[in-house]
Parts: sequence; C-alpha cells; structure tokens
Amino acid sequence: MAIARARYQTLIFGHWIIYCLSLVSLIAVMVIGVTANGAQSWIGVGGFNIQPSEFAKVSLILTLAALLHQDTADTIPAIVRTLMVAAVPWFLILLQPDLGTSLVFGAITLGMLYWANANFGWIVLMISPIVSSILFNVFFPAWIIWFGVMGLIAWFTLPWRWIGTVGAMAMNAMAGAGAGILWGLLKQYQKDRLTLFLNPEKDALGGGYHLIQSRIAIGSGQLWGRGLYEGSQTQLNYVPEQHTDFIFSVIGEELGFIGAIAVMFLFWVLCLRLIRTACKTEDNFGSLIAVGVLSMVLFQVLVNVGMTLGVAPITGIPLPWLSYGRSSLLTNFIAIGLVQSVANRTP
Amino acid sequence: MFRRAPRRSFFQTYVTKPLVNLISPWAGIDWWLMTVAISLTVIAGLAIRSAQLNVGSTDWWQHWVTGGVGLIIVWRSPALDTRH
Repeated sequence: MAIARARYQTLIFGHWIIYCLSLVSLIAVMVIGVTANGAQSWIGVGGFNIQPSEFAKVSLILTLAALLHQDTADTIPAIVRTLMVAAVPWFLILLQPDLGTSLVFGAITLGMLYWANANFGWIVLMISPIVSSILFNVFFPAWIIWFGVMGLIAWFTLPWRWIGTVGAMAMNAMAGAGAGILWGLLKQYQKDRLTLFLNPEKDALGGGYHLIQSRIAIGSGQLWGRGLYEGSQTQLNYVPEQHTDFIFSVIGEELGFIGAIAVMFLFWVLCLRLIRTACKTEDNFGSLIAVGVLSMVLFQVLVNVGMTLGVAPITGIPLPWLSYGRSSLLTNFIAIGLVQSVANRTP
Repeated sequence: MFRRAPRRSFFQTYVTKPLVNLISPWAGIDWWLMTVAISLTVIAGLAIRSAQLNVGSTDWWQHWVTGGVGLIIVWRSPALDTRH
C-alpha cells in the first residue's frame, strides 16, 4: 500500500517536473539541435538523434491530466489555464518549425478539454479562427455563414453574452483578415505542403511529387497488393521518405487494399480499447490519460493516412508504430504503457 | 492445534506459483492494446525493410529493437499506480 501510494504521489505531483524537463529539452533543441528536412527538431545524444517534441506529447498528456482531473474544464478560467499550459511547448515546437507536431499538441489539448467537460461550443469557438482564416481567403460567402454561426454559438454558450459574442466575432474577423500576414510567416515548403495536396499536378516535379507518387503506389497495390518486397514504386524509391512519413504507401502498394484495411482495423481496435479504458476507469486522472493518448493516436493516423491518399496536407506527422523513428516509436509505447497502468487498476 | 499448510507438489512450488507471481501484477492489463502495438511494430519492420532494400541503408531492424525497448517500458508501466 505504501509503495503504491508513493508511486501515485510521484506521478501526480511529478507532472510539473516532467513538464519542465520537456520544456528544457525543447529549448535545448533550439540551441544545440540538429536540422533535417527544414526543421531543427533533433538532439544528438551518444550517436543517436532524439526528437524531444515526440516525448513532449506524453509530457503534455500527463500535465493536462493532472491539471484537469480535479478541476473540470467547465469554466472559462480553467480553459484559459489549460490553454496557457499547452501553449508553451506548442509555441516552442512551432519555432523549430515543426508544424505537424504542433498540430498534434492542439488535438491532444482539445480532446482532453472535451473529456474534462468543456462546453463543445467553446471548443468549436477555439478552432473557429483557423477555419475563418481559410474560408476568408478561399471562399468568402462560406466565411460569412461561418461568421454568423460562430456569433450564435458564442451568444448561446459564453457566460457574458454581449462581450463574449462581440469578442468571438472580432476574433474570427481578425483571423480571416490577418491570415495573409500569418501566411507570410510560413516557410515556402510549409506553404507548398498546405496547398499542393489540393492540386499536386500544379507542381508535379516539385512540391506535388510526394503526393502523386504516393497515390500511384497505393493505387497500384489494387486488392491484394504486389507482394512484400515486390512493389515497383517502393523498390525504385519513387516515394520520398517512404520508410518514415509515407510508410502507408509501402503497405498500400505491397499488401494492397486488404493489407491497408488490416492496418486500419488494428488502429480501430486500438482506439476502441482506449475509449473502453477511458470509460471504465473510475479515476479521472487515468481516464484523461487514456483520452489524451486516444486524441494523439487518432489525429496522427487520420492526418498521416489522409496525406498519403491526398485528402490532407503533407505536414510531416508520423504514422504511430509504423513510421521509422525511435523517438516516435518509444513515445507511442510509453503512452500505451501509461494506459496499461490505468487499465491494470480498472475494476 | 494449528492447521497444517497444504502440501504443494514440486510442480506447483517451482513452476505454477512463480508463473502466477510473475503475471499477477499485470493481470488487469489490456492484452488487446499490447497485441495491436506489437502487431503494428512487426508489420512496420517488414515495410521499412522493403523501403530500404534498394537504398543502401539497412537499419530497419532497429525499429524492432526500439519496439523491444518500448515493450519493456509497457511491461513495467502497469506497476505504476495512476489512481486518484
């Protein structure tokens, strides 16, 4: 009993230490980090390259679970406090610049806030500026409708109706108008990644090359695939980064539709078990950990598979357990280990 | 009078009981999660090997080694008590 109690105390009260360590490692990356693919995200330690931003995902899950397990996120101050805690590592990762991982941080935060009883309308309002910035510049009439809907959501959900509604609408208007400025802050390769998935043929030998080759690889796999080690796209290295972010194209080509569906089925089982653990446990802290891991895995799978198929922008997000990368793989196992510790004590 | 402890066979003493003691701390873990994580790592190793066949790099096996380290972490993690 004493040992169990001590371990629990360590994990709950140690979350700030874990959080601070992850911040220190993220700052260290900016000072002594190694640059690859346009991002300064790795630190060389003993001949290995470690990516602290991957481990920071678990650190964020633990920190937010410890913050939200007692005080639920059903008040504005609780949400602001949570967002402030998540914003620091998120900002450090955005500076690397690692857009993909920073998006995963957003998904983890929103998923955990929802599970901690945050009003769903508030979560929609939180992501509304991003949608506004896209709609304002792509299809203005849709932005007008979006703007109105956000006003209604703010009116019916925020505590101070007039101030809240005006604030939410002003935020959306500024996000829409200011998107051009933010766009200018992105690097050219990030701009290409965000836009070329809509029309990769526009730059078939440049920014769209990844996507075109990936789609050819997955399509050529047909139903049963070309066979392991037999895919021409894979073996002739037409798909860049095919052992890391584009590993799903290898599976699609060599194992075919059946193999790809089998992999998706495994992820589906994993997500179901995470939801089951989150629902069954009587402990808020454990439940929030399971939902944090679920948000992390689900978002990465959807975006990674989406980007190999051409329905999501290429953002450099690895496919959990499948993409080559020690930091990413270890992070996923640590996350599952935490969920196992929750499941092990679920009645 | 005291009650005599039930006698255990050699098999029970040296095989069954140590096995039960070994597994019992993890009796409540989710075996589906373990199975899926291991399966995905195995598939990944094969896919990475395929992707590396003609590029000269042959470190695909490191994915399995890292997975093995991860598995040890998962195996030890249920000892942590996260209840509150």
